[in-house]
Amino acid sequence: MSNQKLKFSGTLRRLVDAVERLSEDDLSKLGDESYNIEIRLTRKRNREETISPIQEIDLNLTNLIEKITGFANRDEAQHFLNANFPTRKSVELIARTLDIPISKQDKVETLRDRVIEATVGARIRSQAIQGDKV
Amino acid sequence: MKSRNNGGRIDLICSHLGLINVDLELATLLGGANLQQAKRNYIKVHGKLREAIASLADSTDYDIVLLDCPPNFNIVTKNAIVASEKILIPAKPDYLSTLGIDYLHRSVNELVKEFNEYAEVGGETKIETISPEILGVIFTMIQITSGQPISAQRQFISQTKRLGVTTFKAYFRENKTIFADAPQNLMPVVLNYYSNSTHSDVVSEIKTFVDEFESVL
Repeated sequence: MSNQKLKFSGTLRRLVDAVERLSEDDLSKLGDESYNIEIRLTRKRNREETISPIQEIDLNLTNLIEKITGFANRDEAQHFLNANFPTRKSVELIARTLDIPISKQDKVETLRDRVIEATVGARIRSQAIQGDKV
Repeated sequence: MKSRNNGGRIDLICSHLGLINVDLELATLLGGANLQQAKRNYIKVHGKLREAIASLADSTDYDIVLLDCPPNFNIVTKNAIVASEKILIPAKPDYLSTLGIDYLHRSVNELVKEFNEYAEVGGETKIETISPEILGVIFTMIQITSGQPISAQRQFISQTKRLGVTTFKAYFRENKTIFADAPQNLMPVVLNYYSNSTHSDVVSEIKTFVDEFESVL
């Protein structure tokens, strides 16, 4: 088999794999004329890319979360995050450490708000309910 | 309670749906002609369950008395707290339930303060003060995906831990089929049999919790 044929058969196999991963419902839509079929390609990340950066800054993140939780109010935390974490990616890392669910549509502002609510917001709310001094 | 024939024994006192107004009935016993009498009535009404359990203490040999409470803070629940040495908080890991944990802390503190203050003016008989300890939160109705709670729930589990609330490592998962059948069939979940792995997971999670619970008692 020539190199080109080998490459083509490999491509077809990958397409078949992708189709097999579809749900019953999606499979039935493949033959439905009222649906368009689009092929989206996403780059696979290897293990080193995804795991190592998180492990390296794990301790820093714990300290960072403690710092955000310790702010006197939500505004201070907002200023701190705006100034130090301007990108979605940087805020996403904090959100993931806090176990906050993240969707692709979430904007950086939404993620920042959720981080604030899960840290300083939760602390202030808890203290207010329990009648402690905030 | 130890038994001669086997490892142990459980005595069960069931509630009754007809007790729906028991709170209102108990509330009519509160109040009094003067402040002192009102305080004595408060202790009497809120200490009924404690009194009943204490009266059994000499004639029986129970290791543990478990009191299952409704999700409110009315006189019946207060009776259970007054009678308890330790409080276990079952909670769903969601926004409103985590607020409920804080409200419960506050309400328990207020109850302890009020009860102990009123106990001081108990009259001739000495009333024992209360100091129930909060054992921690056990998360319930957990939805499992890929062997762990879903992220929407993990968020509130982590948040509760971060706020310094003691939480149990074990959890109870949500399963309508397995848990819904139990009260109808009068068969505890652990003794029931389903030929699927979910049931054995549920049973092993319950066992894990029991071990953890016993270790902190």
